Amino acid sequence: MGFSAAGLLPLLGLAAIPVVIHILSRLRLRRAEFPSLMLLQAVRRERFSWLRLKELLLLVFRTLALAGLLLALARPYVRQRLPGLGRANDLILVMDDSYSMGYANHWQRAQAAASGLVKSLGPGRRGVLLTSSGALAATEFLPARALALILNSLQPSFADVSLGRALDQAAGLARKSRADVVAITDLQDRDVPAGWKPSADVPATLVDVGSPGFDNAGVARLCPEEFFPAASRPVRLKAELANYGGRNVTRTIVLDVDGKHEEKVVAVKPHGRTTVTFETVVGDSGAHVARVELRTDSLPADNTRWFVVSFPRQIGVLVVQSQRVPARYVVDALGPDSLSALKLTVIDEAEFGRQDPRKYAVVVATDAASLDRSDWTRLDYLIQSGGAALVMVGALPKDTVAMRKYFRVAGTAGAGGFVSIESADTTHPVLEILRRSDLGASRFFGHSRVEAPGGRVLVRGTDREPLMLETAGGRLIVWAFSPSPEFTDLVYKAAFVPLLHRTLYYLASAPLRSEYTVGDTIRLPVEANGPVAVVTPEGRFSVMPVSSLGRPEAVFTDTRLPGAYLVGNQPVAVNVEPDQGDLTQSPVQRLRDAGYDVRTGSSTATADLVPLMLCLAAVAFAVEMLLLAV
Amino acid sequence: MPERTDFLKPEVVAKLKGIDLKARLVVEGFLAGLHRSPYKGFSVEFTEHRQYMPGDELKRIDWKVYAKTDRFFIREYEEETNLRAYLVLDASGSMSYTTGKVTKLEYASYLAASLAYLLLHQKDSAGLVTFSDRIDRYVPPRSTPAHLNTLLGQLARLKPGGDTNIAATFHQLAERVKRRGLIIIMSDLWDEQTAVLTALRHFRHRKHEVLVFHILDPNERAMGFRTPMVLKDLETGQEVTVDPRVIRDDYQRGFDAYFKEFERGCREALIDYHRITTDTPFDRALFSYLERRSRLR
Repeated sequence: MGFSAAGLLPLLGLAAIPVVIHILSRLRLRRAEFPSLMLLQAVRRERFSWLRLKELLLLVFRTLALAGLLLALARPYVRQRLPGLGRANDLILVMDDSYSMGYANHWQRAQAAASGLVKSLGPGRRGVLLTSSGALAATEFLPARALALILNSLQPSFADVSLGRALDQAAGLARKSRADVVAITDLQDRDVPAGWKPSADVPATLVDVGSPGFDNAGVARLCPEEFFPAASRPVRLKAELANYGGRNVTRTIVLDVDGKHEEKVVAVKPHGRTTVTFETVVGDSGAHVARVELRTDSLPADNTRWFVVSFPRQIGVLVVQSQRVPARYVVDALGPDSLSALKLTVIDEAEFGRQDPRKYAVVVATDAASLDRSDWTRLDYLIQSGGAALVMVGALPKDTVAMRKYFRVAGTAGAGGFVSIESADTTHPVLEILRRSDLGASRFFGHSRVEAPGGRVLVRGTDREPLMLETAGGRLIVWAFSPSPEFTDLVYKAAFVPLLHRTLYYLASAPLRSEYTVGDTIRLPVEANGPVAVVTPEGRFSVMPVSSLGRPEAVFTDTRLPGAYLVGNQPVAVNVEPDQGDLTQSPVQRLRDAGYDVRTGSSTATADLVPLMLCLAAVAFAVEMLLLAV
Repeated sequence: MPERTDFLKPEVVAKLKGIDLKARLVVEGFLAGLHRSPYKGFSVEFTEHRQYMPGDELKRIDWKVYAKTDRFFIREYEEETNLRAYLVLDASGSMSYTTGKVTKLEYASYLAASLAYLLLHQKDSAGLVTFSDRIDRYVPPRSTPAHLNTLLGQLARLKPGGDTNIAATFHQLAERVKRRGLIIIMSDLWDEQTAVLTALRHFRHRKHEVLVFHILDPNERAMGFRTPMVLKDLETGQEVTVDPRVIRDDYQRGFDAYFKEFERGCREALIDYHRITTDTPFDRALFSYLERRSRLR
């Protein structure tokens, strides 16, 4: 037996009130004198045993009545068997192990329900256990004992998962073998796939172990108020608190940055969000891990959130402009911004010969056509020596001999019309934050035809020609156009600013992304080709950089736990998907209409014992009344 | 201004000072109520007339007869044989119980004083015996008017206390009183019933007339307590926890049976038995006495 409102169980102590009153009343009985107890004792002797029994029975029934009422308040439920499942057929058990199952006692109830099903497997029947997070993807039917062992070792994951994939897998298995599909879930609206419908040949039963009325708040977001925070200056960190439940909540929220704590008490309205701002000063440049934690909440997983506050060291950028393509749009997009790590130096192409490009992390050439052979040689030298360049080829360059090993310009395209973007490789770190629509509206009135054997095309135009490509091991990015309205209207688009920033950060090896969600693959550019140490909440290990797609990257996928990870010397934050904390359930009727067989496992069980407890209390009360009347 | 009959009410009598006053007012109030009663002239009974003889007191001449017959006749009265009455009063601890204005002992005292007053005014002899677990005081019966003061003085000084041993005390008293007389017992009789009845029969065996006033407080039968409580025995100090609501009916049934047994036992032994409660007016008790007295004539 379990309790949905186990927090009210201590109230059960109140059931002892009749006993306490009984004892107190015996201690504090009125005393009176009486002439003779002779007759009284004779009568009392006759009535003694019945009286004592009656008194005892009254006490027992009174206590039972009160206990019944108090137990009903704690909403007891029993771990019911689900009749008919796994008796005649094998069983495919899908456990919803999303982190919302960690709420209150949902997971214990789910395990109990699963355990009951496994135990009730008919003779010779076997089962398969699947999880929505994919942590278990076994396809082999196992005997009940083995299933029970696996079941006991399961824990809710921190991943934001849907039951859909697991139900698909279960349906596939069920089609091959005669088996009942049962998913044990909290029926969280976001977990139960709306589009997934059980088919007639593979019916699916959903066992509800959730709570219709829940009370959960979580940290939905943590980020600095400024886009580019600076070291040694006050940094305002915003934490957004979400109250997913239907009641007002008041929580204490604690910020921890570099061992400095600050806490605030915040009230959040039902289904509302509140932003709390902390102001802190971080002395050193570099990356710092900020952590906010919400205290005293029923679902722990979404109570903590990490964020890496980066104060990048200065990234020197040399912008080489020409008369035809001035650096105006580049400068507008990159600065001036005293808080930015990018420090721009803008020169004309004539001055480039007098500069030492190795002083800069990145060189940006706005007009490749204005560069001469010596300029290209210096760029090559820069790339060879660990620098990087962004070359914009709006018009045909005079001489690219020195760069042929990186890219080649085959001519120009798009004359008399324009092309737009057909595809963008959003898996590339530069483009991953941009959606297709962010770039899709841009028009390119003239661009060069650039080829880069072994390079990676980042953006391709509707004429199938590359518009952006990466080569030279990630140290050279070539745009087939120049940043000028003469060549494109991208310079007027909002996406131009982040595109340029991320391109330069990428080229300068600055970390592009420091916040991930549990289950994400972390990819971080690294300098060295040797093993990179990774420290996670689970321990320390090393990864070998991958360099097939450009420069070396540390890539690893084991982000099961939320927390602050350290990759080399670069921290990253791995957080849970905050909206998983919204435990709102799918309407049961809607699920039934969709074809699910919904066994309201928890609510039925709860409903089973609440009336039982109330009946018990009523019967005990009635018996007490009868006894009093006798 | 209270009526004379008010002095028959125990609660009124209790307010008076001095037991002699109490006794006098009770009896006078009682006699006032008997104005036309058949008990008129009970003290000295007329028997016959005889002719005047020299030496007779002139005051004894019946002048009405002289007026009719012109002869001197003397009225002859037969003075009744002096009744020797023993007022036997229980002064044990249980007699101190009260739920009203007067304790059982006070009630018994007033009653005894009234009876003493009445007896002595009838020229009867009245004695007083008080007891608890033994005879505490024994005042032999006398008929002198001054004896009334002695009796009233004893009654006024009476204090309740001690255990009860009624049967043994009665046996002792029965042996002690040699001449037959009227034994008037005022007690709550809380003792072993069979033994008490045997002891009462002992008085009868000694040819005594016995009048029993079984004095009780109204609450002794009613058991009017409303909540569970601890009751303490006034004599033994023993305590029991009882829930009156639960045992009241059984208790009252047992109580009635217990006293019916007393009535039956007394009736069989030709003993006058009167159960009176401390809220009963005194005239009822005095009537009982007079009835008994008249039978003794």
